[in-house]
Amino acid sequence: MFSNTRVRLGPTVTATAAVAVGLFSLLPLLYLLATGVSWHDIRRQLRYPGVGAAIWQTVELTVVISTVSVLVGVGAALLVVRTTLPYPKLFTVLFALPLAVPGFVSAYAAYSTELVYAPRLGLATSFWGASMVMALTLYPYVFLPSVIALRAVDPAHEEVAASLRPWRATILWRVVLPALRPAIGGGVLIVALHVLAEFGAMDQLGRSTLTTKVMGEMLDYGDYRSARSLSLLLMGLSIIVLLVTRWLTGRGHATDLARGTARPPRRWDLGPLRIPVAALALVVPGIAVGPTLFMTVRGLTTPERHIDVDWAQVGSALTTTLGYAVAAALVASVLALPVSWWITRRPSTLATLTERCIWAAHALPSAILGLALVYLATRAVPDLYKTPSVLVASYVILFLPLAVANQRVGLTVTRRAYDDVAASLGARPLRAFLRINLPLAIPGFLAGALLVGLDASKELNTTLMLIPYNAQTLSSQLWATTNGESLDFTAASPYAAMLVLLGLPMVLMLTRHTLRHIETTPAGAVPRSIVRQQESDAGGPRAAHEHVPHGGAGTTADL
Amino acid sequence: MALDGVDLDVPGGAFVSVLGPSGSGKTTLLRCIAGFERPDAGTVTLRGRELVSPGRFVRAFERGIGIVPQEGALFPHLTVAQNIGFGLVEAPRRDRRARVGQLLELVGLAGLGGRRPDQLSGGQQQRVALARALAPEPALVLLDEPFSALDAQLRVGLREEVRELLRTLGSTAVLVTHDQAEAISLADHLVVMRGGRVVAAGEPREVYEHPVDADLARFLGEAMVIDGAVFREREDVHADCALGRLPVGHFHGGEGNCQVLIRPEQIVVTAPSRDDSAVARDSQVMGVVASLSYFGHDALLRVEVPGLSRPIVVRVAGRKAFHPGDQVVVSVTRSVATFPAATNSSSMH
Repeated sequence: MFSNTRVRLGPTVTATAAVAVGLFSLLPLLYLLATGVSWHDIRRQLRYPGVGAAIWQTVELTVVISTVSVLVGVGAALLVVRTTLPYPKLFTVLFALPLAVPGFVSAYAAYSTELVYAPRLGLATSFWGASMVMALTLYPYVFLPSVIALRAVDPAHEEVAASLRPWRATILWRVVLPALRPAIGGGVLIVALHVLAEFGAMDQLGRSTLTTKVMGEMLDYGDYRSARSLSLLLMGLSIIVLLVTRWLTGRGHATDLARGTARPPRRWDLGPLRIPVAALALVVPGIAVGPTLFMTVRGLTTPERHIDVDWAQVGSALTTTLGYAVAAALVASVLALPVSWWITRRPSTLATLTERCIWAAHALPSAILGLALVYLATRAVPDLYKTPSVLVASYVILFLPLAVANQRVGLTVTRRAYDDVAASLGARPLRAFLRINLPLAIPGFLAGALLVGLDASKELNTTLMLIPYNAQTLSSQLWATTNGESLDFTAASPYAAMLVLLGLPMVLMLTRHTLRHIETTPAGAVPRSIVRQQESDAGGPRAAHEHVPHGGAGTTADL
Repeated sequence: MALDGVDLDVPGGAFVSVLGPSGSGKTTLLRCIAGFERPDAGTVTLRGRELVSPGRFVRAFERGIGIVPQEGALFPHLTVAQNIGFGLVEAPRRDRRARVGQLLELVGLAGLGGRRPDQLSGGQQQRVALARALAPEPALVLLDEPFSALDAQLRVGLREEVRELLRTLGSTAVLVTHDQAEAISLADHLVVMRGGRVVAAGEPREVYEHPVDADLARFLGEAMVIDGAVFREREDVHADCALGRLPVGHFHGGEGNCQVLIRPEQIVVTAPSRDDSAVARDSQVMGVVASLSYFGHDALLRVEVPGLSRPIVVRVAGRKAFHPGDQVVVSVTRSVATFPAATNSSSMH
């Protein structure tokens, strides 16, 4: 009766749109590579002593900051998940708090604090001081996935290991740490890419890196040719980082670990040390965000301020920032839609490749993207140069992956079986979409849009390169105050306050997903998940999220 | 090619099981009937209405065919009542509520209409999925391995219940499954698929007892296949094999070398009677117990029989005492089926 049924292939509207979005992401970089490369100039750059030193310093900073971030991040995760530390949920939020403060803000705050209270110390601007300041703002990227990974370690593995080799250090080394590899690898990738891309903080802390060189050539000397050559060297370092973290991650996938097991891991009883350890743990977020909070409050309240805050200017910067952020969030959400729909509904090699293109543009330091867009705009469409559209385009390309990742999480919740069932019940495609797909996917859509908007509102590098004439955003205004006559943070404080306020909802969104993995039950009590397991064996309620896949670490679908 | 020359006729009110291993095309068949996939050729007709024919394709939402997918696929953001009422848009609100209440009662979940799907057990979710499919009174209900995600005990209970319910309502249903016991026990009409083709169709007993080949026989239930030879003696057909001379009920192929199919339930093991150590009948042979696994209610015996390279496995009642090394009489009851000698048959498991 039937012969040969197969799914019809061929380019659909969705696929075409998705590929177009992927190409749009890569276009500036391809353009830069295709027309802007001069090997001669790169060789010339390498001969300058300053460039060699900057490359070396970049490598050193990347290694040291990544290492410290792993130590602090994993240590904090161990404290929260595997010890009887009091208030583990509160500590999880506190440990994630540094994410609320943009790197250049906390660096400037650390610098000003030292300037005001210990001007002779010179600690913040030393190599090790700068590394610590940076590591303390970046370790949450290791901390959050580590919490989930540690929670997912099957206690049975540890018990088996303990029965074979009864030394706790061996168990930690052989069972727990390998399970953490994907989390550490993924975390180090984000940390290292941030270090490579960081301009504002490095500049404040007196570090000369490839990115500060690129930005310096552009902003101070207007030497675009040198900037391009240096940015290609920077691109090379990014690729090395990608390869190294791939090796670090190993073959396991962070998503495999993000499920959580029925039985929570055993906690090490801190005994009478609980309170001292908790006090010590407070020091980490304290040093990380303390200076910013303190200097901001001080700047807003000090009677001996040198400059009066021009609130009208602050207000206009806030409106401009929000305008760009909303535009970026909307455009990114619309552009991400065909990609996320395509990759969840019709996964294929081409779909995966398209998504990779979008991530590739995200993985490269933002200074390179800014440079590419400047190059493209001045050559191809000079009318667009220094208009809001180019700046918004740069935000969209930078943060598009956040929209895609979160939309994907949302769309994964709505399975194809739902479409089939809805159709079998007589629902036309539009009704099925409005009643089933949309309500299920919308939290992911909103989360993606919100993350894009928040990240765009804090962005500094491409903002400085592409901001329209006479326009000011919160970050560009704050940056302008770092070159003022007084460097005691008073002028910066209103902008810092706004940026931190914009950063807080993001921290809450990112930690919400992680918080679900933290058990607050005291050691010894029967954890709820086991009770649930027993109920389901007896035909009782099933675990709520049994076949709803969680988003990867660092993204969230819940609002 | 997922389906090739499949011809299936489902009488109204019947319960049809489509049984096949994964990749046999049974799910594709179901999706074609439901309208989720468009066959390249062929026709689908429901109560005289052409759903698929050359140049015609009625889309899924216009067919009026209900489906109960694997794991239920309840809409997670809607309550149980909203899930069941999803297909009742055209009915006035009051009628809809009454119908939902009636269906909840029917599937034994009265009072749970306000729950969310994630607050239900797996079995309850499947009941809701069934109620949702039945709500618009579809001309046909498709069940796509609806019990496979449940644990064994719940599965047996629920499938009997669902079968009874569909019979009471007089619904026409097609069940797709890879579980032989499930397919055979539920069906009025059993269809076995392999490689996109129908290899057997008919009443379950008929298909089970008269399999068309050894692979099908093995797929439908535990079976032992040994070498033998068929010969005809006047009206009677017999097969000679290591278990004696056995009467053949159904034989495929000609005389000479063959494969003899024996179901475990046909084999009886007894202790030899005291006075004679020889076997009494043609269909009996002597064997030696090689080993024994005791399960309480029954036990598995492995019995060495001369002429067979591997011991045969026999299930006996647990209270019968056998010990390794015991001499036993192995008898085959009822007639056996034979198939042409193995050329290169592949197993269906």
